[in-house]
Amino acid sequence: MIKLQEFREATFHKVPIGIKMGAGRVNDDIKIAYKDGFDFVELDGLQGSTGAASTEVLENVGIPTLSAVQEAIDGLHEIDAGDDMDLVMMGGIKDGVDVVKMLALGADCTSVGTAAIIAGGCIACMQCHVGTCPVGIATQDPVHEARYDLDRQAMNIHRYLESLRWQIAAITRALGYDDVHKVNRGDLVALTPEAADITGLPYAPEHKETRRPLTGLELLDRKAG
Amino acid sequence: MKLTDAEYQFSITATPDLEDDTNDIHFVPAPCQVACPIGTDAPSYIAYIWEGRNEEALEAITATNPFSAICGRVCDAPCEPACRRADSDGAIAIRNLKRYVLETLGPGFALPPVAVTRKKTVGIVGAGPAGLTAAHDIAEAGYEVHVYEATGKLGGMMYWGIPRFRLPASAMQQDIDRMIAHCPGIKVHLNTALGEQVTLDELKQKHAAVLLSIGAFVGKPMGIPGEKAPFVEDGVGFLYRVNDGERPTLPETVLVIGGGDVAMDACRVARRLPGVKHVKVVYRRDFEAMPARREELHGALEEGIEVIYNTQPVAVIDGKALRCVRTELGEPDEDGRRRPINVEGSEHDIECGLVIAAVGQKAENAELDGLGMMDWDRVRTELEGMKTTDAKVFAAGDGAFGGSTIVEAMYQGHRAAYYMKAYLEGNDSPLSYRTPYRTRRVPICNDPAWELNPRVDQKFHGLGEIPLEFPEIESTYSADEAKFEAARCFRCDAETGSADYTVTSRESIFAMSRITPKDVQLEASILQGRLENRANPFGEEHQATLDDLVFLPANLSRLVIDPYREDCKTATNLGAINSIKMDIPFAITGLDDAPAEIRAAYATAIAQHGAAYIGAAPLGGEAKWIQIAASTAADAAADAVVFRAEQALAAGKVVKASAAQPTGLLVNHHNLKQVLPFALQQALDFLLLDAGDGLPEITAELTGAPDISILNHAVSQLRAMNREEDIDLVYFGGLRTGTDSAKMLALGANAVVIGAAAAIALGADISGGKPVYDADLTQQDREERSYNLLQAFNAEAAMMARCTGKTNVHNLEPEDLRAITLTVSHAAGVPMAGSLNRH
Repeated sequence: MIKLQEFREATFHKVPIGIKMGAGRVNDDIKIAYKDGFDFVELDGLQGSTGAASTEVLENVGIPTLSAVQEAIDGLHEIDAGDDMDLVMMGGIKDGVDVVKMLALGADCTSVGTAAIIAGGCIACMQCHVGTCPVGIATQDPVHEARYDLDRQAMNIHRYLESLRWQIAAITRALGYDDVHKVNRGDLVALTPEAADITGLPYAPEHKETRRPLTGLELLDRKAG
Repeated sequence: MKLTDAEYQFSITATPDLEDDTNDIHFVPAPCQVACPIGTDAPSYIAYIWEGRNEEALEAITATNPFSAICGRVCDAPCEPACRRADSDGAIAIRNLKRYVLETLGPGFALPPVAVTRKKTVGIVGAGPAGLTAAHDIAEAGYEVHVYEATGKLGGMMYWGIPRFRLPASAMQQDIDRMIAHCPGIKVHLNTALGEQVTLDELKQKHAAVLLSIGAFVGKPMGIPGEKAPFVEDGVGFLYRVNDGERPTLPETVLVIGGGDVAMDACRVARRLPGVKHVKVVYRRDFEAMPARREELHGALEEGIEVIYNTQPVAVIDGKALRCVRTELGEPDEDGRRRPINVEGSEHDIECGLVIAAVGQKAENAELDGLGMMDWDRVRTELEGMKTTDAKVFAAGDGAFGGSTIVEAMYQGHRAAYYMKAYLEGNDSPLSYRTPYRTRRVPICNDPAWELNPRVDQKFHGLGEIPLEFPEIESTYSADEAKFEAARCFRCDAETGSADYTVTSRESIFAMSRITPKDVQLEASILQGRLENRANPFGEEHQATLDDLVFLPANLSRLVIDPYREDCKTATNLGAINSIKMDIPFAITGLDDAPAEIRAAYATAIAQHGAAYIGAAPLGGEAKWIQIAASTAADAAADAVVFRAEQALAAGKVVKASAAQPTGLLVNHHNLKQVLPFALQQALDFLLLDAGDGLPEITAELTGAPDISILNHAVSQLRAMNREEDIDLVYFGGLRTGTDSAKMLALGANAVVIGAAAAIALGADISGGKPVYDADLTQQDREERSYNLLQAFNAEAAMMARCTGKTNVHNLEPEDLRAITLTVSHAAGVPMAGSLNRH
């Protein structure tokens, strides 16, 4: 709380100040963050993934992003603070579908980390900690850094974000809205018992047309058009 | 027409099988594999080379490529420009790695012979890469295949078109020998030309189907005045006679016209022949537009050949020179390349003694022409079905589709064979052929040193000491160089260590970041793919596993403990009344029948860490021993004793060796309910909960998932009796990591037992359902590994405790956990993450 005050003074009370947390006891933590007076909270769910972390922590510490958003929304409602503090969700957000679902569940914003880095050439080898990143991202070694073609990768990330935007717009319009922030819980159903339990959304397996996941070749076909 | 059931059945089975792995969700064909016309599984063979498993690499290479030794040297390698590493510090040297494997193992490598099992036979005209690949595939299916070759050698353009300094005869022979040995059903008829020694009618009568793979062996003329022998020679004709052994003495200056691979080979051959001082290549477009493979061009330049760009021949001045004009590049024409436009008034003569025209090749065959089967300079052929105008006759290769590369010809050979096999089995409209993509599922290499190596180029020797002898222009890698080069592969095809960013989701992100934002159709198709429902990974058959429990990290409501501030305590007192003192909450089991070396290694490690061994007999050394007294009485030398619960129940009492010896019972799901009150009444110290049901054997761990609910049941029952403090619980079953162990400690265990994981750590082969150790480790390795295993389990458990804000692993509690599936929530009695306050 004292830190927060320092930040406010240092930024002349002009810049919104948030706190980023790994998602754990979100229901409790969000209330503390609210009482501390943060403008927004950025919550990182289990699916978040940095190649620098230990695999055990990566896969076993933290609750899933879906659970985190729900606990945060519930926690804020329990203290009647639903609209007072903004929520940025991250952790495994990969495409427009993920983004729209998070916003519909009540997040105000989403954030992409690993996906954006992959768009910019990361091969997800999960070896960030060794310091010799093959593509030249997680390294300070000049030889490895030189491998990174900044302009080309910047363009790739640009295309990724454009694609993300396109998907968000396409889904929003398909649901009959002109603003993605109008998409809401009423637009969702749960397809698995787990999702229903976590979110409290109606369990509606009848909407599920079970198909196998897309295979690699189909992905390639899509790439080729 | 409606098919009968039998016909329908037949039509399905009559579609030739394609071995393909693209339905595997853990596999996406890498860009190099997709760029290869025959779908070579390059990532797998590269990974095998890294692992030093050259035999497996060879299998992966030769699976779709009967000409691997040849391709290792002269393939145009479309895989390499497609490599994702090409844009940073150079593509992986995929082709040279192939050559390395073939040179290391190739000549001795044979595939088992495939017998002829069918009555029908097939005739193939022309023994080039297309014809022989088709022969190989059709023979593999059990047909006898007769190959009719006009010349005296097998290999087609591979033999007659490529100079020996790029492709020595031995490499070619290796591939051909291997193929003939593998397919004894291939019968070769040399010096048998279509229209001379044999007619198409004869072939159609003899064989059930015929493939025309006649190649394109006739050089196209330049179409300018004065073009006549001997001053002008065509490129393929020139290469043919040199490959036939001729070493003609040529004039001082030789001009080669053209910018393709034939031009490159012709100029490099001329450079090596006696009498020649200058070789100049004349090409009508610029460097960028030149179709020759870059490596060939660089090789030619290295060897002192001059290339004159933007220059078009207009007339031959016999015996003296070639008259040329300069060109400029205009608008792109149909094939997308910019059309050269002659610059007026730029006429000039280039003096020379010989002109070699390498401006393209065409197919010619008088008999087929007479039958009306030719379409100008090639056999009239449909790509779909590979059929000619005659229903029984198929065609493939340069003679059918124009000049191309070896690997493209092999693709056409595979394709033709696919349709011909279908035709032979009576299926006239099989599914369309596509290149199959396979994977050998080789794990990626995890050596942190893998990233320190730049691309290693193979050694280039150029003309060599005696150019006329055509020594090879380059050599392949040493074993170390090959391994380092292989380590550079990004492995775009495979899963890395990330559960969330799988190969499929990685490729999907790549797709999003490689499309033009305005390409709405492609955007829509990617989105549509993402909107398709995925199968529930936690379906009804899903068992409760420890993977579905997560720890809650400390945050605002609890403080994180940083390792540099405070250690995490792990000391363990096992036993409610009498107790065995351990430094860490781990015991090892399952080594009663293990070899002495293994037992000795763990005896040392257990003593060093202050852990314990659970088994029928002590491990020896200083290791603490918890005896499982199954048929024997309690041993006074044991640090603690566990009796079988059934036996104790039946006896109605527990006979201790001494009053002070910590004593427990071995409990399973079936007897837990009965045993608990009995154990409390007997004032025992602990219960050993056996979720695997079979201690002291660990077989159960290797044959099925443990039922982790035993711990939850024990704790709830004790809580119901309000006797939680009166007896300790030890859990055994399915623990793979310190994280798994920490979860059981959090759920109420005082200590846990490691079984199969301890065996696997010392190299046990568990495929037979019980651990089998072999002698490939040194005793020092075993000691290190057993020490590290306990170290790692303990460190991971401590890491989990600290993440949750605890400074003692025994302070972990159920509240530190959440379930992410309903099954585990039920089994472990832990609430679901996200819905806690709503239930």
